Amino acid sequence: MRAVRQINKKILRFIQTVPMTEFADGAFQQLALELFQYQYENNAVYRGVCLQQNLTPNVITAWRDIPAVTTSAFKEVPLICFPMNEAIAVFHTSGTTQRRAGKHYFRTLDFYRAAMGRSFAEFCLTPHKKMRLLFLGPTAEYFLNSSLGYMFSGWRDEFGDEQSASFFSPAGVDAAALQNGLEIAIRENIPVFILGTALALLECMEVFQRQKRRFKLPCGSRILDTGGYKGRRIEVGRNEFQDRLCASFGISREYLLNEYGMTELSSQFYESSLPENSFAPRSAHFASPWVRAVAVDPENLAVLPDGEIGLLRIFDLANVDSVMAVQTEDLGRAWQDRIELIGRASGAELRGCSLLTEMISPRT
Amino acid sequence: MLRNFFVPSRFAEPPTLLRHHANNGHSGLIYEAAQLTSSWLAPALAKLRQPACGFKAGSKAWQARAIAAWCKVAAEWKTLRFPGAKKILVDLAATTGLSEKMLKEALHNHFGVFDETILKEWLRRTKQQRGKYAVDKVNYPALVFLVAAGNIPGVAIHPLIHLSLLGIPTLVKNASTEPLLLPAILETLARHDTEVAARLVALTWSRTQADLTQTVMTRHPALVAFGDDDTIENFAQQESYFVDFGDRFSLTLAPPAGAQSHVRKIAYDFCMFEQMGCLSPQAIFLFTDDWKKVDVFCRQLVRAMERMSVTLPVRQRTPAQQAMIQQWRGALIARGAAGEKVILLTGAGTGWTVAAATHFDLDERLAYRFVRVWPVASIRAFVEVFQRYQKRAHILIWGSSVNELQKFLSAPELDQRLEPGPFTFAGKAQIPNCGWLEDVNPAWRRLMCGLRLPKNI
Repeated sequence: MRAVRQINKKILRFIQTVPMTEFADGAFQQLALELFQYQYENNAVYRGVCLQQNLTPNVITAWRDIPAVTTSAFKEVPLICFPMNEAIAVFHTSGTTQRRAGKHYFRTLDFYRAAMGRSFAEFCLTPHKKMRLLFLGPTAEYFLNSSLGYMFSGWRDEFGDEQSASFFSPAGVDAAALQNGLEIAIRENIPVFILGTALALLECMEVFQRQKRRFKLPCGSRILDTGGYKGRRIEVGRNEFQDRLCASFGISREYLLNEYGMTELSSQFYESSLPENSFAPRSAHFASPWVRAVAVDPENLAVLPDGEIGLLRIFDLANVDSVMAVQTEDLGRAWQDRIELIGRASGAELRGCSLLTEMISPRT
Repeated sequence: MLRNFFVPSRFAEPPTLLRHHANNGHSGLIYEAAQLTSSWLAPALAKLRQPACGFKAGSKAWQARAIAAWCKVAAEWKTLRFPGAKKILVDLAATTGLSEKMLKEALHNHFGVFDETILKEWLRRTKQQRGKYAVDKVNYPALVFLVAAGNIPGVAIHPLIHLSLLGIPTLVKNASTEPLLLPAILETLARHDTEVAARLVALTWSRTQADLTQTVMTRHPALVAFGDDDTIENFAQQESYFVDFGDRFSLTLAPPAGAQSHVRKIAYDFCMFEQMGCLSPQAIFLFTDDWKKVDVFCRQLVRAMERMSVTLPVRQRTPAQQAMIQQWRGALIARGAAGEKVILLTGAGTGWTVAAATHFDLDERLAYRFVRVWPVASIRAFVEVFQRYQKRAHILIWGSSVNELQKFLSAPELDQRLEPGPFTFAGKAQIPNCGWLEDVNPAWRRLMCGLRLPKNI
């Protein structure tokens, strides 16, 4: 128990204090190996996965070699380092009616909160400390098992001003209320931050387009989208989607942000080129220093050199009580501090939070 | 150069552009693509040779002519002995993502299962069936709109031949992922008989070009759609006669101690078309609860899968396909680690996978030579599982000898509790006989017999 408390403390302190540009292996490596040892000892299913590959803490000496579990494994078995009855939160993947949802169990949300708060402030909020946050996606009030819902609500509580609000419920998107909120902000010349799933944003833009309504949001306003939309009812290319956002809301492209995350992780990556920040290149999604990513060869899962295209494998120190190393089905390139997303396995079930939006949206 | 369309000679050809083909990551081919508009399509459809011949007076001459033409096409395509065949095979491999050996095998299977006698017999049987429905008989539709799927190259060939023998004017909408094979086959048909080809059109457009679909629908065709759930749902909303060949799968049944020759045939069924068709098995139900026997069976199967890798090679898996395979394997690894009985055997890469477990979710459709072995202690246990999937299960494949099958079929549980779909034998599932569509789809049977078709069956 003491060891558990110790690793928890170390990782939480690391997430809270590590400089956001610190990507040297030293401290991360040490914590990753300690966390691997902890998870190997306390997560019986994960230990079984490691043993099948003869990869035990005795033979692993670098974070890159820590064995990963696939995102699909979260659908099959509980991957936890504690008795299930101690779970205080369970986040579900969106799933579909035909498919089982993946489940990510948490004994504490301290790491999740610390990770999501620090990275959001750094990549998305600069130079503000608080903003008017307008949500077009799930919030915890309605969507208890949605990791995105938890994240949106957490951001609203920590970084939102008093007029921050959500325009998304099980009944769907409330475009009229959003319009009202935007008009108030324009009148008061207060920059707003719209955060939503790509599908919900598209749906709102379609409503505004039908009404021939365009906005010119106050300077410094920004939009963050998350989740995919390909293969669903609405299909538009990324460029077209961003053009439409700029045209509908009257903001320039550098104020468009994108979040890449998944229920199986506790940390997020951000595409961010805010003029107030200095992150480049634009096509990249930036990691926080408590996260690393590698690309692996899709044929044999061997780790590839930096910059080569493969399946992304994420190592997230904030995944303390589940499994740190997660093998995704997403194709991309990885470097020490960032990833570039190429795509998701087409034909694989669509995952991510956009699906949640569509599931509750009335079909046209 | 291959084209994504075929129009009879009396049609004005649509304007075309050269396109680069990309199918699920496979690419490398330039082809000629029709630039379709409603204003071209509407008058063109009016030029289709009409009406249908069916079995009315004088139809015998048409039928004889159509049989002769299709037999000539078959003779060329089953052996690929015609000018430019090699090039077509290479191009189709690039568009379908299947290896040339597999495509060759597929074409041989499509065209090797019929000859003049078989087609005549099919007509005789259809006429006989039609005779049974004196009250319900109507004329054949003035147009059939056949929506082809892209998962299996040539999936629409057999229905198209049957429609052609009955002289039913037919427009095929090719899948945008595999738009080239059918037009190429129809070019061959037109070379042998322009009149037989004059009742058939094959065009390609995407789901988003709804105006083209609506142009066709204004002619009130009978709709025949192959495809996934989205495709079927999309077309089911049309007010039309509707024959749905939607998402289905097949299942293999096997005793634990099968002869290696039978196991090889089972492996063939899984490897052909990379397990993507409705005739492809999704799982093997193995009649044993002895896991030692399961293990022996799986290892037998591994040998057969390895052999198939040579005779029916995988062309090149796309990263997306590889990602899916790794995720499927990862799920089983986790189940095994959690203490479930799981056997997972794989090749060096993603070529093939053999997995056994105490249960599977067959609603999760797998492909790319991913064999799920599901041990069941008895026929009763199988029936209980099967009932959950009965609506989707297309055919049952028997993976052993006839004697074993006879024992199985006499099982009272099966007779009482199950209405099995058509049975076939391992190694034959991917070589269906010429009339298999009627066996599995009553709506199609009604269409072939020229019976009154309810809307949206």
